[in-house]
Amino acid sequence: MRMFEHVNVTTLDEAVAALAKGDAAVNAGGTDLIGTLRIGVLSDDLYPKSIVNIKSISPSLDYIKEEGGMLKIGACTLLEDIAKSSVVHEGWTALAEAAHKTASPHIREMGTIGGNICQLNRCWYFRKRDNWFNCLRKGGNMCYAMAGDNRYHSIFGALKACLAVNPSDTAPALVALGAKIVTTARTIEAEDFWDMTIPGSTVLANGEIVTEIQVPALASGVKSAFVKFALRKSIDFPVVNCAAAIGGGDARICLNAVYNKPVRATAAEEAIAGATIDEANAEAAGAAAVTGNIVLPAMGNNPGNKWKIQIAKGMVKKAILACA
Amino acid sequence: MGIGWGLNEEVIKDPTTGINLNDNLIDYRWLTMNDIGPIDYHLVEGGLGLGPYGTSGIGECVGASSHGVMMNAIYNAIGKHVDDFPATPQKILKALGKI
Repeated sequence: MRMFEHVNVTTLDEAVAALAKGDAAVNAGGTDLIGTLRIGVLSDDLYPKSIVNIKSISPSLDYIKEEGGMLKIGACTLLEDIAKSSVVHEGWTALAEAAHKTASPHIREMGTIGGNICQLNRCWYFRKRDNWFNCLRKGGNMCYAMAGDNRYHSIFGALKACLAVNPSDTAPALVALGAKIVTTARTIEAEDFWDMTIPGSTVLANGEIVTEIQVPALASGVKSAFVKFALRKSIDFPVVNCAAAIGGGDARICLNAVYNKPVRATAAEEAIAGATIDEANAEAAGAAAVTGNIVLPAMGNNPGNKWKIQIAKGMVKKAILACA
Repeated sequence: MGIGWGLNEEVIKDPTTGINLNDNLIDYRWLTMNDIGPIDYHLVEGGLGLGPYGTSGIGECVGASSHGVMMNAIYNAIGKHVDDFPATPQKILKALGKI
């Protein structure tokens, strides 16, 4: 870990000013950031010179409130608080379940929702310690996963030549629930919030901070659910996760950890919207969700990622059935 | 330990450079107590060990047997043999002919 300056800011304007130059990183829970800095994931050019602590901002960004049917969550709200909130659980079930299934209890007590949606992408080449693989995401010129072991990588091809996946659990829930992300500069639809940048995973500009997440009330008769497939129950990033909000002739389904950013399964939505939710229809929608996939072939010890397509199908089916 | 060997634990190397890709406890999926069900144990004291008074060591015995037992459990559940450790979802899907 290298030396950096630590700045406690008390207002959002101060935070924006401290981040404007682009050589600083935002710290709220720090569960992703500190690990990234400690093992030296980033290249010399990208290593932040200062860390801006936004927990000291007043009034605090840690709140969950319901205003006129709309759920408003401050960016610094702990994942555990969202998971335990009865308001979120009753009105926006998918989001509460997603927060609950993120990481482990310790991390949920530290990590915030703002950090969860802004975390860096997951790829073992990108995340290898001491910047071993100086890949595209760090200003290098190749994606090492293309010719390497890509069993957990994107099944919908590369975004700007990068095969990493977005590992957030709350992201698909926010997309399925039609949330908006409020930043210091603008309001962004959740669907348009993620992108492949260097080294970030969002469309945020330098000096832009997420301040609030707004989730509209669900129409009557709409149920939402979140399902996750991971190799461990206790603590793990998803292999594939899926959130769905279905009812009243409408459906929104979003998959994550299958591409560089959360993916709306529009074909599955069309298949299930207005149809009765049963085993056969859910199965058909699951198969529709993975059309257009791009399989990374097995080579040597690398089994490829064809298996993730089966998991994605199953997750869409489970999420739909959970909305019945 | 045995369940981890049977299901998850695997050192994964980059095929081009040989660099270990999962040298941390997030990517090397070591099972924790929450991943394992309650354990019921019975000691059978046969007194036939090679040590003094017929004692024998018991420390790693479960490690030697449980992943084999898990493979039998997988066969019992899906009707197909998975003949490679660890039995990851990818190998199980392959045994089922799904991929």
